Amino acid sequence: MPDDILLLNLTRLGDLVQSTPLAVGLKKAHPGARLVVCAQKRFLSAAQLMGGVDEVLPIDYDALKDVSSDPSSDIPSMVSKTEDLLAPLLRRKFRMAVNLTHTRTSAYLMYLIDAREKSGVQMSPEGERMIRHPWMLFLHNFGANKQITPFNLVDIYAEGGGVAIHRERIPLSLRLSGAGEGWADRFLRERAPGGGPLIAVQTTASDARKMWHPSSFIRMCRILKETARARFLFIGGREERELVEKIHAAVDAPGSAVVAGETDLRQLCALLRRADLMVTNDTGPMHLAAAVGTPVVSLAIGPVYYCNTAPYGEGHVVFQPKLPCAPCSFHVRCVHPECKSLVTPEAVAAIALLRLRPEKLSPGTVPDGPEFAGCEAYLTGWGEDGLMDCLPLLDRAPTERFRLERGYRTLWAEVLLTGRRPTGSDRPISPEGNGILEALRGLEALASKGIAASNDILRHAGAPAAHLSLLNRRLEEIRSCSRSIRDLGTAVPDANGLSLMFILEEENLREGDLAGSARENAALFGNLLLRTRSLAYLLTEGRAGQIAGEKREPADAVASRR
Amino acid sequence: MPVKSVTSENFSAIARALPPDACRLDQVLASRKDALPVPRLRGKTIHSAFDPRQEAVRFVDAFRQRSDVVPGDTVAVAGNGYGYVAEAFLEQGYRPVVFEPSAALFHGMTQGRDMGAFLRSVRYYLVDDPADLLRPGEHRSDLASAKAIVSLPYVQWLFPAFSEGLAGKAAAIRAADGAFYRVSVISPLSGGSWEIARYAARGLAAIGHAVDFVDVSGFGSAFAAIREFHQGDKDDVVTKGMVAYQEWASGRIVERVNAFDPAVVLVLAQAPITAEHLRILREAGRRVVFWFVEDFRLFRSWERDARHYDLFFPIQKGEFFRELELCGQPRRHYLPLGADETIFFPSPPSVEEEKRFGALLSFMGAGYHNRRQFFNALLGRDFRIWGTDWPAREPLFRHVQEGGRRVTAVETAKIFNATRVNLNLHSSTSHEGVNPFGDFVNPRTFEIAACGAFQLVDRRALLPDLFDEGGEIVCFGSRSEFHERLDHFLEHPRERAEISRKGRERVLREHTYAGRMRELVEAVHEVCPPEAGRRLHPVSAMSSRLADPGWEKLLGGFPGDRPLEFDALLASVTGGSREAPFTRQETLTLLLGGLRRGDA
Repeated sequence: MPDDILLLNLTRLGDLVQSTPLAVGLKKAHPGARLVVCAQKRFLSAAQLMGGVDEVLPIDYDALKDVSSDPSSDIPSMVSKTEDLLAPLLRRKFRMAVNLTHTRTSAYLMYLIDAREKSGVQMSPEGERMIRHPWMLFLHNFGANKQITPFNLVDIYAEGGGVAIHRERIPLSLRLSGAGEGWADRFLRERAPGGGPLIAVQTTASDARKMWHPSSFIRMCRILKETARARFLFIGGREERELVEKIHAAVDAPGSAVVAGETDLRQLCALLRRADLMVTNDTGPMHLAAAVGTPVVSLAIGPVYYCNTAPYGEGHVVFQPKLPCAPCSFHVRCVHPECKSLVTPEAVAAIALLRLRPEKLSPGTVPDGPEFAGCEAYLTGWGEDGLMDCLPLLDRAPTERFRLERGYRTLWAEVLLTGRRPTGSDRPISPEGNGILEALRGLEALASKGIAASNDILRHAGAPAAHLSLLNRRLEEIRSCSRSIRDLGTAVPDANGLSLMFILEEENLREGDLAGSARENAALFGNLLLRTRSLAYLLTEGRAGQIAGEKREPADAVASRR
Repeated sequence: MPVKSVTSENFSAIARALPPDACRLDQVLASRKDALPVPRLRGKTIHSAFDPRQEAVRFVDAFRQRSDVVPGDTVAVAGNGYGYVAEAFLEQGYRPVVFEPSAALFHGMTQGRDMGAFLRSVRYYLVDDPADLLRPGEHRSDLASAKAIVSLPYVQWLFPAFSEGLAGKAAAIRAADGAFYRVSVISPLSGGSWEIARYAARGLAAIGHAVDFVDVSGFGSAFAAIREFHQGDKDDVVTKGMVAYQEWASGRIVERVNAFDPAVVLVLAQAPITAEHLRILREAGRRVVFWFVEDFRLFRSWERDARHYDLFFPIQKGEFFRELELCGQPRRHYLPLGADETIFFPSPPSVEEEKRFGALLSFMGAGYHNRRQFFNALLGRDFRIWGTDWPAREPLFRHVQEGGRRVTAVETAKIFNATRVNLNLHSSTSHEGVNPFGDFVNPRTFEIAACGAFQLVDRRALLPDLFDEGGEIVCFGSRSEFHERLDHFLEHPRERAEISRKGRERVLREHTYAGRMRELVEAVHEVCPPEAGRRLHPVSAMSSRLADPGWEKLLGGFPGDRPLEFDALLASVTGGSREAPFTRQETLTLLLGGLRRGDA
């Protein structure tokens, strides 16, 4: 029996780093197994840094794309080149394969990979989408419903891969073994000397939508230069150097240096470890900083949502613009990215200064102010459920939006971590209340109808043909309920967290005999009913503390510190 | 004149139909030995005046000594004269097929020798123009299967281009057979020729090529907008704008072509592609050809553009050929229009269609001056006019249907099918009625015939090569002849039906767009063969190049003798319902398809 475990992670630097707790956890759970990461060739050096990994299997994804679109190639050429590029992966046998790449292409690869157990998105033999493991369903949900899937990707990866990270915390893990340390010391000595705090600044990102305005970075740095005599290390890639140098010149802070394009990953990690703080867009080096223990202040701009990809660990801060369209979908092409202006340089500088102090930050303790008018700031830490959490840093009343997020957090943590019947699920939803509650009542009714139809089919499943028309009617009712559940989720995005999970779970049902299918459908609708009622309960009657993260210090205790 | 297959049954009729001028020999001698007839033509004695049989035997002996061709093989003989060489080949056991360029020698032989007996043993083709050898006909398979081509001496003296033409066409037919390519078809901006571009693309696909139809009609509105925006401005201002836009549009066309990477680019009249971009395409190793489907006298853009193409296909001959040479384009091949038989076919109208489209008489086309003049005589009759540009103020407008809107190809077919007599008058801006100098044949002629519908069409110089007047089509040359024919055929439905049936058979045999495109590709092979490396391989050649035997099963669903493009394979994998699990090969196809589509 093969002893290899495969992590299929054809994503970028940040995702590779974020999957290291999973790798470490799997290695610990299967000490005799060889942990193999399949990564894109251009991120080979990042994959080789991953803790817990025994072997990196690079796939030249760029070459695969070229093969697929080469107009001069015929089918035999395309096929043989593709087979050659994929051979290192497809000729291996694995005990287990976990797909962390939630793309259609990876689903096809999972179908082709020879593994006894498979987790994550894959193609079924019938060509349908199939997602194994409830947390992996959740990962797929995450893409569509960022605002109501308030878990960090690191935890989703770990739990989805079968590592109970909520029980035993596993930090991000990089294999650095001292490489680059000497180089980093020399670099700082020669290029960034001085006594003030050293702040690493990542002003660029792989996606322009995730980039804060360069002028905002400049302003923020100047404030820190003036108030804290801060020095800056401007990092980035070789192709970004020109922009980064302009920013550096505009900031004009003594003891600062541009290091963009000059380092390999080990050298970069060594530099980040020596920084007192990192201020960054949501991009790969942010996760490297978190992994080496450097506090991070990050900006969740554009399609980024603060809780999903926040730097993993305690004490980091993430800024989130307050805007109805934020976060936007990855498919949106925005012509007026107002989100970038709502996070002000003054706000970021203020938090950076706080973070540079030795005192630990606590949620809800930073005074609100006009500089924070257009944004929220969240502090990372560990939730009561054992997973990473982000709580408001500013002293301001929680919004309805926040309550909804917390409600979902509590619900899913209960459902996915404990397997218990979720809190409040035994009570029908009150007939009063508008907005989300109206939508939840709608889901409740549909779920009930679905259960009734499924049970009726079960009752008559083995009966003679006379009941055929009844069975057909009930089947049509079930299909109609499914469609309505999907439509409701589309119409009321705040309810889509429940709708989409239902749809994804329904896709996983495999065709069987009538009675078996009816039982599965009944369970599916039953789960939706319980979750819907629980969420309604949490939103209406849930007390402070019952909703994870809503625990706050009494207001007088806060006031006495000011 | 198309290549005529002369048989023992039809040689007399063919000979009688030849114009007297074409049959003139200088004289016919009697050979000194055996008194065999020996013709003289244009000052040359065609065979030995002493012993033509012995001369023929020596000719064949010399051939046998220098050639690998063995008795039983087919030998194509350029020239026949009075048949002595062909007979000598027969006696030696070869299978001669003769291609005779001289109508006079053919005619003479029918008078001077036992042609019937000769034709029972020898396949004989009368060829007016070697270019016609690429047209459909029985001669093609004989030419393609000939193991050798020999030429009689008189052919080299009197018809110097004929032998080379015959050999070239034979080679082109053989080379193009089973050769498939990617072809980009660049449409015009607008007008009737846009439909022809589409038919050409479909025709190419029908014969197995992978086609990208580059529809640039969307750019047409921008040109119109530029014109309108600068209304009132000086011409040079308008021109500047148009030129700048054309440059941009042309660049986009080239990008699209390069992404498809074709071996051949077929451009149609008025496609907005610049000379510089044509040069770029040709430098990339593509063969860029032009099908000019307009009247060269009215649309003069070819004067500027023709020389930039590897091969030029006009729908006219004669004077246009000379003009093209003067413009620096000697490489041309006459290619008439045709009909798309998948759109134009017999289809009895439904009750609703009869009501909407049916009439005793119909005309489908634009309201050119000559048509408006000619059709006035039909005012008040059961006569429907379809198409645009018919002036509303004229009395004829009351016959114009549905406000004179543009009619689609499918509707056009319905109109032809629902009409008892379709009137087909070629357009002219400068004649009243029939243009006596009209040469090319419009697409309507083929389309009506393809529908198996009846038409009266004005006589055109190039029509006799395409249809047999009286047998397959009915023509008129004047108003009086038109009315006389109209009255007659309205009263004789069986004659109409018979002529229509034969007309359709002729279209299916010789005038489909698939056939035209086959001829186009063969002409390209003769004049500017595509790069060998750009040839698409048929499915039968693919399996052997794929190590995994599972591919054979997946590819087995496709015709083995045709190429297969990836998109077609992907469509077969993703289309339709299925019960079996996806195979490894199908999944790899899906994976590649996803990457092509830009999936992450």
